[in-house]
Amino acid sequence: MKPQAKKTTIKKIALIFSLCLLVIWSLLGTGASLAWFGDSSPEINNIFHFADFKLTVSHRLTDGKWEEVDSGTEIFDKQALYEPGYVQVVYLKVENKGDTPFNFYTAVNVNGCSQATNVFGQTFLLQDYLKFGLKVADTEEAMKNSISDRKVAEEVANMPLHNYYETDTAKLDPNATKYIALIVRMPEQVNNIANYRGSTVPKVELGITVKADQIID
Amino acid sequence: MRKFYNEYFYVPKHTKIREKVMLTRVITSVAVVVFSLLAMSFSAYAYFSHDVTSGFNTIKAATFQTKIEVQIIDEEGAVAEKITPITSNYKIFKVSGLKAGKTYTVRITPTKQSSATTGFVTVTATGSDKTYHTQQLGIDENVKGGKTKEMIFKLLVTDTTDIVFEAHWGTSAYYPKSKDSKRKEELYITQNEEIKIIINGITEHTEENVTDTENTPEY
Repeated sequence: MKPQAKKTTIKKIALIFSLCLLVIWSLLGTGASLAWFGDSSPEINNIFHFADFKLTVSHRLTDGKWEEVDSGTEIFDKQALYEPGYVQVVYLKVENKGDTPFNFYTAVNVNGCSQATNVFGQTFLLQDYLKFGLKVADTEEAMKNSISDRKVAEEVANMPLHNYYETDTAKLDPNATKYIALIVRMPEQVNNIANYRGSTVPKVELGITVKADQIID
Repeated sequence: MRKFYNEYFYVPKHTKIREKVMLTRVITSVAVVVFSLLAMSFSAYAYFSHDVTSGFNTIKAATFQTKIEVQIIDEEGAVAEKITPITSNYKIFKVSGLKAGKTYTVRITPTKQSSATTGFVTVTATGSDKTYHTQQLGIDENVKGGKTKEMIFKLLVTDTTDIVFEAHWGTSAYYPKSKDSKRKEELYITQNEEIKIIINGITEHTEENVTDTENTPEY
């Protein structure tokens, strides 16, 4: 046999041997880990359960009861008239009535604002002279204690009322509840620049949205 | 289309596969695998979200407006003289030609259009650098009953001058118990008080009562 042919033969044998070893190891590994179970059941029901995703938001009435919020609900007192030092607090309850946790956040946006005329004959927007703030608590008691008096409410409500504001997201587990105190006030320092004259009453249309998103693991 | 097929997919019989055709087949296979994986993930994944909105919450402002009466009352209590204020379109009152030696009775009342719960009026005079504040009209913790419906005080000037009355909503910086340390008691006019405004540095005046009729323009 020529040396070249001999080398080729050796290579072929080595390759076949490697393949055989590979097959043997595979069989050994499979055999060592495989366990065979068998059972039978007369009835097998395959039930596919869809996750129940349900967010509920309620607002607190003057009598202490909670009323569910929908698109037509006004949570702020429409009879209230804002003047320097006036503070209004509304309480919201966010509930996860489903069986899947979610992240939620609260958004406050100005849907509309009417321009009025002040004592000096200048036009102004009421939005520019209001402040607001949000406080989130785990229990109703904690929520009430977080806004215990006017001074605390003023400290919490210190953000200008821009066109849009959004809180950070917070997680809400199934059957869990969070409480939100939303405060809108007119600072005491607001002078006659917002004291209107004429027939146009300065107004702000405020939209409050609570949004829940599925948690993606 | 035929040309495209021949270029990238067709393998003639008894010939070797061209590199271009091979590459096309590999790319097609990979693309099909990737697409299948994506389709599987989309078809298996469901995303939930929900929002609750309270869309139209109306926030309105109040306003504070007053009406001013300036009269001279005689000793019998009758109106001896009435001063007619001049108003601007936006109702800042100016009473002109007040003279030294006379006692003017000023009555300030919130108008029917006034919806703020409290406010006050500033009083300034030509020839004086001082600004007087009346006590609160409306809610006032310092008065019996917690509320003042109208403000009456007596005004004297030491020289002929014009007085400007301007209504302000909110709480006066001179209000007792005010957080502001700028409270100046001598410039805070309380109910039925008599104040004397020094005009152009003249401190002497003579008192005189004159009768007149009533005029009630709006502020």
